Amino acid sequence: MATSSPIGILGVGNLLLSDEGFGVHFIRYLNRRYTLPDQVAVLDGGTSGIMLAPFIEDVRLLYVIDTVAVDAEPGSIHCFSEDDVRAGNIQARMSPHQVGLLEILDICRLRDKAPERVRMITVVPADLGTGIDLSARLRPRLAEVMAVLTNLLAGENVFPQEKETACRA
Amino acid sequence: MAQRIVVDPITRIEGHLRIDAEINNGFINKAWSSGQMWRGIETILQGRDPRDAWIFTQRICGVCTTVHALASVRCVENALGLEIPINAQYIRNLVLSLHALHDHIVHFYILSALSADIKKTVQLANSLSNWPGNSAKRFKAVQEKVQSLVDSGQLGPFANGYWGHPAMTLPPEANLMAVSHYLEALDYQRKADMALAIIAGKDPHIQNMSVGGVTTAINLDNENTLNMERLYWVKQLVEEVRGFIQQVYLPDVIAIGALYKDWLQYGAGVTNYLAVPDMVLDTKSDSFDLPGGTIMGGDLGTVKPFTSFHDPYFRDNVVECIARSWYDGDWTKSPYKEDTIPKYTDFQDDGKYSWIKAPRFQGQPMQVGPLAQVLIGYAQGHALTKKYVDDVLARISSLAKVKVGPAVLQSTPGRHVARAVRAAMLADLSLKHWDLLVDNIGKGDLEIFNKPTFPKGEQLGFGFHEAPRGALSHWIVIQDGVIKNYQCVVPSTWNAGPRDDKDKPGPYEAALVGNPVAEPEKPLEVLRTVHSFDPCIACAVHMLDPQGRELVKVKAL
Repeated sequence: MATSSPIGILGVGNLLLSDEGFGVHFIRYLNRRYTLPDQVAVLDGGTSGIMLAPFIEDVRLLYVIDTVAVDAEPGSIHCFSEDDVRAGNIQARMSPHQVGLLEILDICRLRDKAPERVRMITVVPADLGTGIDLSARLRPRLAEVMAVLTNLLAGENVFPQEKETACRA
Repeated sequence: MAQRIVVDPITRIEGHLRIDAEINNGFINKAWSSGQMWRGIETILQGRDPRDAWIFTQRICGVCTTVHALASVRCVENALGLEIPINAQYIRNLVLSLHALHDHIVHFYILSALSADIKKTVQLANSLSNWPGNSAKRFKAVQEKVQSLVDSGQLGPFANGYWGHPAMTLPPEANLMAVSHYLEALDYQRKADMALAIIAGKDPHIQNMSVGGVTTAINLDNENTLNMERLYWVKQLVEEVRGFIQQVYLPDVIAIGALYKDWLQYGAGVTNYLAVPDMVLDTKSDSFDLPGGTIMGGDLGTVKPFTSFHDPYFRDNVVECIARSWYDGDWTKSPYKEDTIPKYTDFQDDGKYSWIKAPRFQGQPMQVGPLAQVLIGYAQGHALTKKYVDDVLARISSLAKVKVGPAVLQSTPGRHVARAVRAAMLADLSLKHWDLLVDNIGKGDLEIFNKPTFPKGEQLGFGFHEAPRGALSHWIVIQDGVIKNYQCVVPSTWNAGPRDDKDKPGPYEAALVGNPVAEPEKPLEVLRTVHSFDPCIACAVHMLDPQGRELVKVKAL
């Protein structure tokens, strides 16, 4: 349980607000269709903040699947490194009290426990209304984000295996 | 000349809690608290199976997933009149106390500093506690790390902290100690989290709730179920967390209470308090280890308990009012009878200005949270509450060199003190309920679930839980086995809600009035008072925003 996993895949978002839950939908998609080697840990982080620190501190390489508010076509996929995010002044935090991803990474770094690299794979949402399903626009992005992630993982010599009896829900 | 400041948003995530404050001669004379996002999530539940509701309600909030699972199964059980096995009560009690420990620890450590004298820090820390982390070596390492963060120009978690602000009066040594403990706190948060995951399957989003009990199978001979090895693992983790609370969290809060003694006069606001009983001791949910009830007008003599999960004193007195909220109408109704029809206007000082409804009890605004729970327990003579409150007040008095009584808890720093007291009580109680569970299993009782049956017709039920931010209640109307109506009255709705039809302000709004504001451009004092409530209006959206949003707008009126 407390073993350290070199690679972490973290999906975040709110399942009750349609496309805002993309990261969570992605983790479900991944778990349903693929098996991953033991050194990869997968977490549905929901909308947790600092509570995610224990997961993040255990990994050397972190992939975050999230939605993003950039001025671009809904459904478009955007990848960021931690430096991109810092340079672009992307802030997910608004007060000294509640912390976002960058602050969690800073805190982990102060504790000498931050991942070496962080990659964010994000999509622009089409619908943020109340609802538990992805919009038709974003549903096909699950497979596309999986392709992006598969490529990145290949660079680490990690290859997700498709399950033979995957439930094609 | 009056000035108006707008702090928008005050929590992590865009557009959730906006605070407007009118400042006159350096003091706030009027405030508005506005929820900037619609919470229509209950509508998702209509037409669904009541047994599934808890899975959805867990997703309402990012901080408090567990609490909505618990309140949800309790409201369905209440509607059905369903008892649950005692093992399930104990397991739920462990789940709720572990969740709360995890939560309280992480929300306190928000202070920091750069210019501390290491030797003085060690002296200060050692005068408060003999915690092994209070060493010169450790403090020096923390100071160097924080300094390198500052040198890099990336203040990270300490940006927007208004360092050097005139109202930031802690000595640097206290700040350094707090930062060091902040960084250590994450280790103990993790232990509480791990203990929770052992019992509840995973966290965030626990997996072991069920209407009628829990799904934590107990089999002492099976390594895949709850067995003695796992139970002892949980116990060891809880004992470590308890050590941190006793030796670090409580002493730090005592120090800050004493160092900010001037602030003990500010931030009381609404002094009607409401807490619900929890840590259940029987299958019918009629006896508890944590008392609940009400106090009116700040007078501990008015305390009146809620005696069971079925108490009509709670059920018949809770209403919500939408006179000042962005919904269609201006009614005041029981949550059973509410509808949720959005009708947005813009921000109107004297009209509608929030997405949050205004909950009321017998027509009064009520403050909820650890302070409410601690005062209500203290007023009822609850032994564990009295023990910790009296001890903490004596230690604050001795450090501050002025005698303080329970009255000072009704303040901005008092809310922090009460949260630490509650954490200490919950650490003790989680060990007690661990013993109760193990004793009962030892008697051969392995029951964890009573099957619910849904009769034809309509049933009404309410379920409550004393969550880290205070009294949470879920209200359900079941028709022929499916959900007809569902409402969540959450702690931050009680505290952050707007005015009502009689123009009575909510607890955040009232607590801000009379607070001094030294520099309107940097309204540290506003954040301090609002943060003492531990706001979680950020419940909901989690999106990367490439535009750093402006935190504060100031305009002259």
